[in-house]
Amino acid sequence: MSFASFIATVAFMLLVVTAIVQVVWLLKHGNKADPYTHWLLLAAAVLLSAEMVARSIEIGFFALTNMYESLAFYALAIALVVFGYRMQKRLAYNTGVAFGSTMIAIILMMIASSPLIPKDALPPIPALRSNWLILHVSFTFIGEAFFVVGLITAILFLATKDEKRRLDFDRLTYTAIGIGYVFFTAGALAFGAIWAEQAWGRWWSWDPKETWALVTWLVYTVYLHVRLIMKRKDSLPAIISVAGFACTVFTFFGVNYLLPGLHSYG
Amino acid sequence: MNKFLDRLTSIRLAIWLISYLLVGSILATLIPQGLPDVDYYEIYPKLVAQLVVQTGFKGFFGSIIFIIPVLAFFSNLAACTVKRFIRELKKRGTHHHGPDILHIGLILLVVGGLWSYSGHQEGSVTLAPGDSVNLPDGSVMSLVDFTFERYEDGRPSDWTSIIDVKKDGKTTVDKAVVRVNKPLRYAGLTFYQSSFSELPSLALADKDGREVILAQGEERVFGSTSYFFMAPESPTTSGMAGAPAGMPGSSAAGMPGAPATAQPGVAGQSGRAILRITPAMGEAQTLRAAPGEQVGDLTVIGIKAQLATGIQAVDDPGYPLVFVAFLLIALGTAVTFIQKIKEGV
Repeated sequence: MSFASFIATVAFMLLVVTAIVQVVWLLKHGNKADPYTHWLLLAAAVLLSAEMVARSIEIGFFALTNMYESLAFYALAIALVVFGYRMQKRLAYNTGVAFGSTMIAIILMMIASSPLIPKDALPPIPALRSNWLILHVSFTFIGEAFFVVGLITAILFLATKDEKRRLDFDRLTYTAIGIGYVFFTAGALAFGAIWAEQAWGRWWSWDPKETWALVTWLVYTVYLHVRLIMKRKDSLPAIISVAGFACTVFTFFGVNYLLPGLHSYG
Repeated sequence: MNKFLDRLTSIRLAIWLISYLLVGSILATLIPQGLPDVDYYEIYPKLVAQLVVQTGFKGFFGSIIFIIPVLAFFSNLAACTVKRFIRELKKRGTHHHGPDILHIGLILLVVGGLWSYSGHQEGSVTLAPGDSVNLPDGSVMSLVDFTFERYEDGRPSDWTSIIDVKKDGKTTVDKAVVRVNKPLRYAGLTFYQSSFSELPSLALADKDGREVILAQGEERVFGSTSYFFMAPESPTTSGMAGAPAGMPGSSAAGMPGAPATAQPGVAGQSGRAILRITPAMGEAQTLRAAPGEQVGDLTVIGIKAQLATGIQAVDDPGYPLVFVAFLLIALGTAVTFIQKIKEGV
């Protein structure tokens, strides 16, 4: 096992321990913020960052050019977003939100460790050697990490009947999607288009991945308009948030395996 | 009039249009685009196939069922932006122009996108080192060198074309490096490293043993005789082999960005060359010559593979506007969110 794989395994174990502690804390103390798990998440994020640095040194380029590296970065971004959520004072903290998000990070790491995902640290082919690509991928996943929080809060919103808690979850959903939308817009659309123009001479090709990124962006655009302009605070925005996340999942996994196109390498 | 304006600027209209574009886009990724009509009748039941073909859905993103809703969305967005901008200007206290920046970016994106869609032109040329091509502005672009490197595992690591451009005898671009993700922008065109190929070339030797290389399709005069290398002889064909240099299918071509594939090069050829020689005072003769054979005053050494680069020239007049639009969209979303955070939303 290489050094990079070893620290990724330790990071995965830390995420699992985090989820276990979160569940135990949730059952014993309810929604009161626990004093440990955000540090465990930070430690997992630091280890995943170290793994990415080690892989980057090995391949001589930013290690964000294949499915394994994307999944690890996605999990890292979720861990950091949940850590940031725990540290902020403006919004009500909810252990269920932290637990749900941690579980998604664990699922991503489990997919990354599956035998179906090649883990070799290989230097990228010429089309992937672009700083615009790194901005495109990193901003997109940072945005999607916030959408993960938006998904969990939306599910909790739909699952609860308590009006005050619904308002808290609604606000959390809106804030998470609001921040994620900024990163996703810059990453998936702007940087992606600039990279495509530099690499292929066409800034938009209606490639399935591009189209699905646009679909995802449009779903979250509808969410923001329904929530901000129409000021709907009922179940509709939460349902749109869940649909938006389903689109991110299909864009990331479904398009790669079901709809081949320019992005079929990652 | 007011009723019309109210409807045009309604958020409901915006959401309906976005939803339509959303559903249409999803379907367009699931229904194969751009196939011949007959293929749709083979894939789908007759009614569905008729619907796909007759509505123009087989080319959704270029059809009126896409472009008209986009233009309707554009009108809705433009009207909303103007209305919102005026309202913000009239407002006392802090102005919130984040959404205006974002919406202006989207408007520019639609304009730039349509401009790009209608004005986009591109063409490709295959050049071997030493070859030149005339550009539309009267300049001459020459390939100085081309290299193709692979990683140890065989995957491509780099294609590099070194390019000179001269105009009216003066060098305007000196040894510019063009590689994937590093295009050359010159005279309103963008030149991309788009492919590579191995062109067959014929190696000949003169009386003093000096090597002379003729690319496929190239004609040169040595002494008083003209030599034209037509093609390497293929064991499966008795006539012309291959296509003229630079034409699709001319040789083992590869696409930068795509995974490496086995390159047949000129292997598998018989080793004989088909060439035409035309003496100054005689008739042209088409010959098949093997290595060691004498043709005119020259001796055939053999057929070699010469690496050639595929350069794609693109003219996209809408791209600068699209670039600005994306910057405004990214800036607009960021400003909007910062303003919301400051308000404590």
